[in-house]
Amino acid sequence: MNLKEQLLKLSMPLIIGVFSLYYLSTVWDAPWEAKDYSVGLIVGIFVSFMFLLYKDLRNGKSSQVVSKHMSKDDSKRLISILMLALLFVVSIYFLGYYLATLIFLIIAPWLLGYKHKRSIFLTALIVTTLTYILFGLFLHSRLPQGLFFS
Amino acid sequence: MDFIFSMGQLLISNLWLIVLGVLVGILVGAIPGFSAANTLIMLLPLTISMEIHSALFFMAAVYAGANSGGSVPAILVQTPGTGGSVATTFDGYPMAQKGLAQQALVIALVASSIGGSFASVIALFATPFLANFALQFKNVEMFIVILFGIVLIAQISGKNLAKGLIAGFFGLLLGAVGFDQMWDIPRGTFGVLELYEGMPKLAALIGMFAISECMFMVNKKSITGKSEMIKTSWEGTKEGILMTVRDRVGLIRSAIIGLLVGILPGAGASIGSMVSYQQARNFSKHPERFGTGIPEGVVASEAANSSVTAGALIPLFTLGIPGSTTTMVMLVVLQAHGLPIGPRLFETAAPLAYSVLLAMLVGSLLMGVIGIPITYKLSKITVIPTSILAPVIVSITVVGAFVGRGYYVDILIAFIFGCIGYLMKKTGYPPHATVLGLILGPMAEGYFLRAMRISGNSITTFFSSPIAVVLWILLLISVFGPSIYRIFKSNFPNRHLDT
Repeated sequence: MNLKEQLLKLSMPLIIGVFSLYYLSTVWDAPWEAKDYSVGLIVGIFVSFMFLLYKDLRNGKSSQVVSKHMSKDDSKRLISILMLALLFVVSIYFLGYYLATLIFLIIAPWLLGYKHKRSIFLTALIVTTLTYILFGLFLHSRLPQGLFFS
Repeated sequence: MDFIFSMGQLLISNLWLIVLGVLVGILVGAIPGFSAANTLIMLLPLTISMEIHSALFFMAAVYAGANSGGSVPAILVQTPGTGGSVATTFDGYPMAQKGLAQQALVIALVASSIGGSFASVIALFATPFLANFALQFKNVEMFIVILFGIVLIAQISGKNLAKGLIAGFFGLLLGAVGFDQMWDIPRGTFGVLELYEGMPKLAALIGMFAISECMFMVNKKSITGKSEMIKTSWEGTKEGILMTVRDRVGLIRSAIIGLLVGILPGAGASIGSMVSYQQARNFSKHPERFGTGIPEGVVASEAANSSVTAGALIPLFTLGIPGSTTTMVMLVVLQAHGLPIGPRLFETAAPLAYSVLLAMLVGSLLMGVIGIPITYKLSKITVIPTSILAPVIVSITVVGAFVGRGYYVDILIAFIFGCIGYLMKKTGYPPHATVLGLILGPMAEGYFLRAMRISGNSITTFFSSPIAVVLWILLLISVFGPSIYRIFKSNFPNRHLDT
């Protein structure tokens, strides 16, 4: 089993464990009445993990499993959408929602393998325009304006 | 009388929204991987801006429509559009293979419509009695009810109870991020000012369900890969309606099963339709014909998955505990509109609860009328390239994460929750339990702290009332019951089944 898969299997216990410890550190100095609820929850998490471990030891196999193995291509596509989504989120901060969405909706389908240029441009334009009409004009929601335009 | 008149007026003025909701519901239900919950999450910025009545009418109609829309790909391409349509594939797809696709689609819609309407009427009459009973629930009982809800969803939505409990406790802990309700101590905020108000529920919901789903979606070229248009005729439609009506007993039995399953938090349409299908087979004179393409199988699954929707609204309005992911979204909208969540919801907003159940009834009835011509055209929807769909979903859901509180950081939080949701789904931790914990977390903490304060910090207060004791017993049974049953079964095997 490779390191990537091992890390994936242990990702949730690690995330939950680290967050619980961090949370505990922020309430450590508080009076007992202020932390009894959250300490109870952390104990609940710990006991459930212990139970899981006990069951794994008894059954002789790990319950930390990955549902479906991904091919290299699948991993690439997943990383692509992750990076693109992250870039999109960051670009909203600088360019504002509408411009960032327009760019994201043109680049993302192309990088994910959709090659019909006309459909891509049309979809990007329609979605951005509809979002603007619905949220900007109709509902008067103030979506992020972007650092460059505010 | 005035009350009924004003409710009727409210319904008529929002009828267009109910029709739109049913149409949207059927449409998204027909897209595998999409569900009423995902759609309502995407439409959150819209529903939050609406009047609370209009928002809930629309959401109830989408919820009602989505479960029947899910039958379209289930029957045509053996790919259930929603979890509730899995059992529909057992007989719906064989019917389509026999050349009875149109009849199967009509059966699914009519059974959904009748099942949903029947369950809505029962819910309409049962909710006030249950709400009166729920008023006896004070801090202690409500805290146990929330724990019970988390345990049930942990048990049902995942294969492993311990993982479900870990996910549920994790959600409750996330719900306790921000200022302490009594001592004003900031907890688990990572120094982010926006988190002092608490973890954003909308962003978490959007990330866990919509964004994580997109991560799974990009690894498929299209949603199903194949599509078929069916030939339709009036005779086929008539035949389908007659086939459904002939199975009256099955229809009512399935609707009751769906309603009861819907009341259980987390059980949802998939379990409701499976239990109903199994019961239909048990009660049938020809159980061996189930799975070969018989109308009774489609009726059992579809009537049940639609009545689950009405059932799921009962705990939402009486206890403030959502019975499904979709009702979780409704709860978030109720909270965003400042309505009191918990047993007092029905007391303070009874007309709202009644009118939403009525909207569900109208939506279910409309589904049978307007749904039939639409489903015929829907078979094309199953071929949408995910490379274009996933980015569109991401871009729209981002708005939902932002408009809730208007903080840019909420978009980042939605993205982080998207990654956590993906990892949870990938490693078998149910994200539903975490989201339910996060939504109910502040309530649970409030009930816990008040109960402790009133009792002078005595933990025995949680065992002080008969209702609390009964709830603890039920909770313990739901946690340890299955294991005890398995041990009992392995020690005393039933020989009748072997022979």
